[in-house]
Amino acid sequence: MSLIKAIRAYAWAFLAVPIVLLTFMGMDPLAQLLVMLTGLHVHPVYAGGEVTQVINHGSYQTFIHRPVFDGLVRETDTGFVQIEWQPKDANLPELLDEQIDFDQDRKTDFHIQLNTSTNTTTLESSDSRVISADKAIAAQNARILRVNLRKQSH
Amino acid sequence: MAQSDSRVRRLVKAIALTLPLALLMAMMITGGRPAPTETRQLIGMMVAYVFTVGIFFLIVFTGRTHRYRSALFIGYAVSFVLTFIPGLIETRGSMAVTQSDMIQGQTPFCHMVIPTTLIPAAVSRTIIFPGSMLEGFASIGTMLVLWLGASVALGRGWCSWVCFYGGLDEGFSRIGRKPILKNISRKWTYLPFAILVAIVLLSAATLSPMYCAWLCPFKAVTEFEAVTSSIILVQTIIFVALFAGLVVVGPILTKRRTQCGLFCPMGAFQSFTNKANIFDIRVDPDKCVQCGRCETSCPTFSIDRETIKKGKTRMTCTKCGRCVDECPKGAVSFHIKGTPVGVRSQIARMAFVYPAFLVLAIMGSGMISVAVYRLLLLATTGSLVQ
Amino acid sequence: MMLVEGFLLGLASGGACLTYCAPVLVPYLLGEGRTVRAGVVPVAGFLGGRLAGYLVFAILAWLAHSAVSETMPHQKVIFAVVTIGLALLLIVYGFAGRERHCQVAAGVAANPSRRSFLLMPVSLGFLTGVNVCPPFLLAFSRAAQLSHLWQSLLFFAAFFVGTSAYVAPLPLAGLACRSEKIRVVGRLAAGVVGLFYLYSGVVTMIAAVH
Repeated sequence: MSLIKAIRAYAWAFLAVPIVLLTFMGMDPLAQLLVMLTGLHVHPVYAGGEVTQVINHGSYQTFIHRPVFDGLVRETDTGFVQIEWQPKDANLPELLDEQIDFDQDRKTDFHIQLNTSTNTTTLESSDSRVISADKAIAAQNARILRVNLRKQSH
Repeated sequence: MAQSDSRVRRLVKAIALTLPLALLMAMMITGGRPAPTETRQLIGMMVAYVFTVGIFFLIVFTGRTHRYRSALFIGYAVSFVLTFIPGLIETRGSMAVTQSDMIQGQTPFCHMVIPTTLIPAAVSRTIIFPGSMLEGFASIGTMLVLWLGASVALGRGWCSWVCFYGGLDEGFSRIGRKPILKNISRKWTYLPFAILVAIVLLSAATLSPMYCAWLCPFKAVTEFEAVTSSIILVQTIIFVALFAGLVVVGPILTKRRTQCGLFCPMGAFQSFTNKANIFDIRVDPDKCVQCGRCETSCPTFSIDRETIKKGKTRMTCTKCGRCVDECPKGAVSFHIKGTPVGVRSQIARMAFVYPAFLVLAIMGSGMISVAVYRLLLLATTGSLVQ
Repeated sequence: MMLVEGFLLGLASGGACLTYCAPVLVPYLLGEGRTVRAGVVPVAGFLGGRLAGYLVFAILAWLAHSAVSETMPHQKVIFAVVTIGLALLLIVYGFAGRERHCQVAAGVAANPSRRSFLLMPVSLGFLTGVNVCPPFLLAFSRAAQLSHLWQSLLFFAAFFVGTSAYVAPLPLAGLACRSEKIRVVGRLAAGVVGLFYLYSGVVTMIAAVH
């Protein structure tokens, strides 16, 4: 019995080398498999949530993400909606001007203007759920802005 | 005559064990591609290769693990810093992570974040980190695979054979001949677990990686959030102070790895993997003369009178091999769970050291190769950065 | 966040608060020769008594909230000051505090004439539940900042669940020997959590003053 136990122990121990080799040689496919099997994804608070609307302006497009109120288990009382203008600045006008309907109820919720040269933002809200706009971020290939929201109307 | 026969046998055995590793390393260090043609890059690669293979040969030939592991481990950590910082400056112009990097999911995922992501990952399958699952450098998916594979194979051996930060406080702990601070209360060895409990729960409550934001000292040598507010300034002061205290001054004063043994929550978390891992360190009570050298030399406070009486180490053991090398009577040894203690301990040692060294060599050789290249760049152009 | 906060305070502090009593409670609750199954009933009674104690304090916290918000104009500043003070107390308690024995449990358990199978564990639970230690005070302060009674009750219910993580396994003999390590970790965790509340209190103070 102790011989069988010892053989099993040595077998497990010597598996460590193939495990290490498999880890390094198969890192990318294993990572894809891990993500596929577990469904792990970056939390919307960091990723911005899925894109729900695209507005085509010819030389550039506006991407409106879904409102993010995701908490750990239930939704939080405050959240944001992320808006992106792509592609690079050369294709963007100096003043970006959008009427945003983030909940897709065909009513404008807020009007946002972003000056791409000074990076200043003007927000006019028509919905009491809209709180404020963060400073716009000049990313590699886009201008990104988050507008803070509260879940319930005041 | 008998001595020279034994020496020849040891030499043949060392060469026989080193050859497969040397071949594997040749494959891994080149990544299957032809050797670089740029002279400095070629020199860097060759230095890294000879250094890692040479270290392994010495580990096998001399029968001593810690001294040579430590040299590579420290070299790896220093190389990581020499590689990472200039790389950041080349790609983004500074060490600071900007809002742009974070919102685009371009923050590299570090293993230290893993414990803080557990509860949200389990509850909602989300990772609370501004990174990318599969794209870019150090994506979340690849780092999780690396962590899982290394943890299954090595347990908390991660901390002495894989972690690219551990070599920094190990390096500083080698400065000076004797410790100035000797008696550290055993209570503080539980602080990493307390920090782990607090940050895991606080991170879940706030959906933010609290350890990264507030406590990680290694932001001082990697990347940190650009100081754009007073809160970030306070965070910056904290991590610089923690780096100076726990990674530099603490190890110099105590000659122990104070960050790893008295603070790191990732280390505490990794300790639980020791419970499942097949390898451990055991003490043969028949051979032990209770000299206490293992206890005073352990870098992470993982062996003491109590555990010696039970013939084992604490679960925080990082399997660095120092106690094994320090024991004058050969009472402390690497061990495979389920086998008799002290019997065929050299087989157990090699069964652990081989995969552990493989990980260290693969991770380390890449870093050392680039670090040597950067140093040559500095020598020839006056700058570490291209 | 509120529920997690309550749970967190209970979990981070319960090990320290409660396991002082474990060396006395464990032999008393389990009794000599009692099986694991028989031990579950007195432990359940003990937990019920603790929950009752916490809910009483939840009501008191809500009354404190009403009193402060009705009479004092600078409510946020007051709560910020209280949070900072209790956070400092929690930090000292967590990192530098000394161990003390559970007098209540020792006193009651030592008097055999007052024992009964269920009443005594419930009473013990209630008395240890209202034990005023820094994590409990901080929980009280946080609960007092909640507007509604149901929020305060839920907060303390979550706090109770957090502390119960240390009590529920008591019928299992093996856990007794780990209680010292859990106590040390719990106490240090309370200190770390205190740092978080110190930051939270300071930020609230700055926001209230501006």
